[in-house]
Amino acid sequence: MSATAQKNTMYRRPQGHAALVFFLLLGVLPLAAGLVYAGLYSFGLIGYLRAGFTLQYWYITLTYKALWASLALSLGFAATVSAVSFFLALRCVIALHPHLKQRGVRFSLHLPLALPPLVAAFVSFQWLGGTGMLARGAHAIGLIQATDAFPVLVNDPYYIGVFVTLLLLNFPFILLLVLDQYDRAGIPEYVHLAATLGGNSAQIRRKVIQAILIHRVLPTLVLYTVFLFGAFEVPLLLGQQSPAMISVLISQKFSKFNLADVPVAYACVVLYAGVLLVLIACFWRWHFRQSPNSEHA
Amino acid sequence: MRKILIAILLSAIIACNTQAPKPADQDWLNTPWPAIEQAAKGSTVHLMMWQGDPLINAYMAEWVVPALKKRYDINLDIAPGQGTEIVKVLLAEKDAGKQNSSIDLCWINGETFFQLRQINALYGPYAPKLPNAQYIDFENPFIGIDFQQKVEGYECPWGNVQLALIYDTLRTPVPPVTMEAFETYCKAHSGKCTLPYEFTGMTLLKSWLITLAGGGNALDGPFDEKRYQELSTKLWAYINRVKPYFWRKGVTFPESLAAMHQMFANGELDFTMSNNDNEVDNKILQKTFPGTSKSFVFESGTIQNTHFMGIPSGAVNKAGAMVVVNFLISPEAQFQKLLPDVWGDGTILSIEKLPDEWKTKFENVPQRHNALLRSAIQPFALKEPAPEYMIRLYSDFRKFVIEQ
Repeated sequence: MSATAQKNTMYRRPQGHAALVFFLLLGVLPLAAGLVYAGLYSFGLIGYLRAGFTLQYWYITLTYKALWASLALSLGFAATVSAVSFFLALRCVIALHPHLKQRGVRFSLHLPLALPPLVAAFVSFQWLGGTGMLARGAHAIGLIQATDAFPVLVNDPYYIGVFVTLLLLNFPFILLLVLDQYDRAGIPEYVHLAATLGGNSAQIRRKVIQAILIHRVLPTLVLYTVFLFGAFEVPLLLGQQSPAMISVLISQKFSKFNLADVPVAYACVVLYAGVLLVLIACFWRWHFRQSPNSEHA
Repeated sequence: MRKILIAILLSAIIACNTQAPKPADQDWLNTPWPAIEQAAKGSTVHLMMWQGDPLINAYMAEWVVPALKKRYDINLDIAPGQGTEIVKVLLAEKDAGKQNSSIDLCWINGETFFQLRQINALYGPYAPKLPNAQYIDFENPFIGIDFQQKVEGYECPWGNVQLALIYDTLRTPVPPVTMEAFETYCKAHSGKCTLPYEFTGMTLLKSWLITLAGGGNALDGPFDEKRYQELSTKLWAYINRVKPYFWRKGVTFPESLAAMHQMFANGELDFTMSNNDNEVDNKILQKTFPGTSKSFVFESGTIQNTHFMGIPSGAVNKAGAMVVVNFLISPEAQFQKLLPDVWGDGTILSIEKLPDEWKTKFENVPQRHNALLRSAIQPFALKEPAPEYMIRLYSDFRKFVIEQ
């Protein structure tokens, strides 16, 4: 019996149906209900202060330039952090594979995963801030004349502090993912085969290792990018107000002083979810076309 | 597996059908006070309040909570949450049609009062019912009127504070006490000044708006769109003129007062500020600020603000909440709160109305150390303008300053 047939048989079992119902009830239904609620709220159809169907909140949302800037910033930022994390991880795995398999090293890679983003943001603030430890250190060894002369690395217009913090938080996870796929894919055998066929080290690295790992890791990496797209605590503490990361902007709409902003915040949520769903759908469509027989299909 | 699934679905249906206990709908406003105290005995009151200051937390946890338990057998359960969070919780409950609120009592001020009144989320008029309300002068415009709205018994005053700026006398021997002097100072000390993009920062902007309007009572009365446009244009011009000399060149502003306090403490900023005019003493006591720190107010005045206790209309334990508020406005609790080493929060009691014993105590309260005396800053107190000014300033600050 083929693997696909086995899979189909499994889903026909009662347990398979129950699991599917569980997933729909606990995983999909609450989220879908939340989105429907947000949608109805944004059209003025529900909520204590509702005044009947209106498009005014959507008009405000769609013409709100800062929102589009935030969406673009968040998307670009999430993609950049994911891509840099991945390529760094790839380099590390290729160069240090035997060392990374050692128990102590592998355990130490899990440590940043235990650090809550809020704590990581505070730590970054203490290190990178204008009077932080790096600034004081640079001042102490005479690199700068006053701590004020230290470059701006937090709340900076280029999001350097946010980038560094998210990279430090995410890189170990991506590294573990790549390391795991390196072992599962049997890369050493492919490398050996390619070398036997006359491939040089650059060709083997680019056309064998990199190609296989990108193919295997990409779906998870895309989902992780989606997760980063909604990063909140780190940009809240270390980012700047304009443009703000999308989750920070929406949170401000929800929690500040104007009750009339609440339906607008819900419209922003629907837009945010819509943009993500479209991007995810586009990615899967592209991915299936690229590899129709992949295990993810 | 199917049985488990059916069991879960049935449990969910039963849970949905379970009747929530009906809210306590007794007419407490017409119930004799001893009966209210009796009903409150042995109950738990859920209070939601800002918990961002160790001294305030200590006052509540170590003094108020034990005293309430001992005298009234009331358990005061304090949950963190301030203005906008309280509004979110109560609005969500209203949206869901929930009759019983998870909050019995909340610490609020004008802009929250405005929002909660919009959604009919406050119970009242309960304040005049409290026995200790006899010591409050509701005719005092700083007490009886909140952001130009008549309180009308739907919230009870708890404390009174005035916006003050904090500086270090070693770094800034002479603080800038006018808007012009502040601009000059910022230009001469680039990157050392800013204002927080939150409630306290907006309170400073309101103070400046009143100054630009001519000072004093210039913005009394309801919100005036035309006036706002005219004054805010001047205000944004002033701020954008100073902006390049602000911290981070005004590209970003601190999101919280705590961040600003920290930057002042480590020398990154020359000023911080607080809505509590005694904050400088509190922070020196906590060893957060250097002992050379002092406070000042602008010659053109700063906003004086009363903070209140509100009971949600859906509060389950209204009787308990009323007893708690009555205790919080008692001369004893107000005196304890006023002590500079405890909290230093201004009292809302009228000293003239107090019994002689308490009058003497209040008149001989220990002096502040580095904070300006309340009597010294009272002449510079400005009333809160209508809440719409704050709402507009908050959104327009983003539009005309941050996003510029």
